Amino acid sequence: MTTPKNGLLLIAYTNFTINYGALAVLAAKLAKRHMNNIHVTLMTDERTYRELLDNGPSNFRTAFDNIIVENLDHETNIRLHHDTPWYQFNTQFSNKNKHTIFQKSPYQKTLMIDVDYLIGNDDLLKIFDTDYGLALFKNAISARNHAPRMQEQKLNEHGIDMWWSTVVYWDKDSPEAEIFFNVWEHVKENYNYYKFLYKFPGALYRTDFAASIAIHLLNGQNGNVVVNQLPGKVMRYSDQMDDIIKVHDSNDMVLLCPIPATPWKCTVNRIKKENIHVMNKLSILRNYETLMEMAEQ
Amino acid sequence: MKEIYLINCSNKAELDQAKVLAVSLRHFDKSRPVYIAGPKELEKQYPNFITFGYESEGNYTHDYFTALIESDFDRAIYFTPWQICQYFDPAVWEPLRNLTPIVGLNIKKMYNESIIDPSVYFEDKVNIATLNTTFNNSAIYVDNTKNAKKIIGSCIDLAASYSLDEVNQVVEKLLEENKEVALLDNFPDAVWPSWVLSLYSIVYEDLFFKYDFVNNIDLSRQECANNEQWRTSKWNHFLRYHVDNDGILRIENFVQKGLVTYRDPSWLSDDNIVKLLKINGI
Repeated sequence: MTTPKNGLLLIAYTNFTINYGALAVLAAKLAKRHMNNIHVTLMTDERTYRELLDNGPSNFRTAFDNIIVENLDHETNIRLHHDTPWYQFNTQFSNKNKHTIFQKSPYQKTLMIDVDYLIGNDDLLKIFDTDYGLALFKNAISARNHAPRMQEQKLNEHGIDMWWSTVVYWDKDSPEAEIFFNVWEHVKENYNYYKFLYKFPGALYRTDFAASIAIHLLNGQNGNVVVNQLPGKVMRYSDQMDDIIKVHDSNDMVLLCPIPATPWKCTVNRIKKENIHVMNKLSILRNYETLMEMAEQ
Repeated sequence: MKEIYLINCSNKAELDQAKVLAVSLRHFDKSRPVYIAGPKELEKQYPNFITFGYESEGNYTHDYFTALIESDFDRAIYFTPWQICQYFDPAVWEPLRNLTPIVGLNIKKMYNESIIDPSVYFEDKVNIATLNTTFNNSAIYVDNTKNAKKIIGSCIDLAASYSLDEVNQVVEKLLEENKEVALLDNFPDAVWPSWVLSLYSIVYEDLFFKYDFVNNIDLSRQECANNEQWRTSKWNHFLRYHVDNDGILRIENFVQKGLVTYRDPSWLSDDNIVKLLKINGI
């Protein structure tokens, strides 16, 4: 079977705490259901692949049309995760080769989504009908309909805009896209220097920051003429402290969303027929079977 | 047809600023001369720098318009001196020739390209409060082939004889005669060029136009993202900035690309002036 021109790419590198392989299977199933059975490629490492073969969901082979397995040694990158306001944990976050997707994608036009980005409609299919070379989300809105924290809008209070690397679209023929991924790699290789220059905190390597700096450099350090925004222009996300409390359908879920300053107070928000970046991965895994069952219908 | 860039330098303190602006304009357009107008006394002191002198009335607004009337050109782009030009495309002359006799800029931006609401600037705020409009005069295009001199002459008349007391007397008289007076509420005690231009842009609506022929970055008001309040401190006190050896100004992580209005020259150190005078960038 030949690889189609357009497709969806997922990256999954599992660790001891979060089963990224299982999340990728669910993300692929949801994408196939809501994006007209789109062709899906999984990019993974040997360990995750073996885990999927041995202990993965039984339907994992039907989730992916293509699997790229690499022998990788991941660089240490420890991330603090929250699972509701009441539990937090540190775990390895293997994202340092995300920029290599440009070369590795089998598609002419690729839509890459993170495995915690749950597809609930076909809005993103419109991107394949454009002549865009590169597109990402710059704006986001939480499940509580609030703007992201300041450090997820700008890299520092007087700094550049943050672009989300959760969803990235590119056309392999676009020179801008190729340069973008090359600059992203350059920023990653010199991350400490750029951290100083762009004044953002933390020891974690964040691909959002690296991609944002690459976009800023690509635009001559001023404005934006090179990078397009994805259809919808605003990415819906739920915070790490949010929890999925009810799944009505594969694209219809209810979240319990604490108010960050007073986390004992919560709002209940229903997200229906939307794509959503669920940052609390453990909450997806807690509702995994229900979501998977509905994704398979 | 004589097309020029014109800068009004109203006092000695503005000489360095006008020089830096003139050099940067020259960098982007070598085909048109840059004239620097100034009071006759300044011309006597700096004959090699001031292109032509005019009789100063000691009234800034009056002098601002007098410099325009007294200079010899067909078309000019007229600048206030407290600016540097970090990017200018001379191709804008072509569309400007087809527009109205006077063209002002439309929007002001922050150092990071965000658009600023003009009502945060003092002068614009008063203009809007009194006239419901404002006119950005960081740079204005003036076309004498389309009788711009008549409008500028009216501006000089208003600037020369403006007195709030007289305005109020007229208003009171009109009110006594039961005539409707809608425009004259809250007039300022004194007038400044953008107020006069705002007024005449209402009076002669067809002769004025707003078009961003250069990207205007106005640093005099910059947003503080911490508490969403407007900073009262100067931009150079809380933003990092650097002029590189090519004369390019970076503020925070942003290369400034356009006409940068700074008003307060305290950031223009001797070192920065030297680098800006050697502009070789963008």
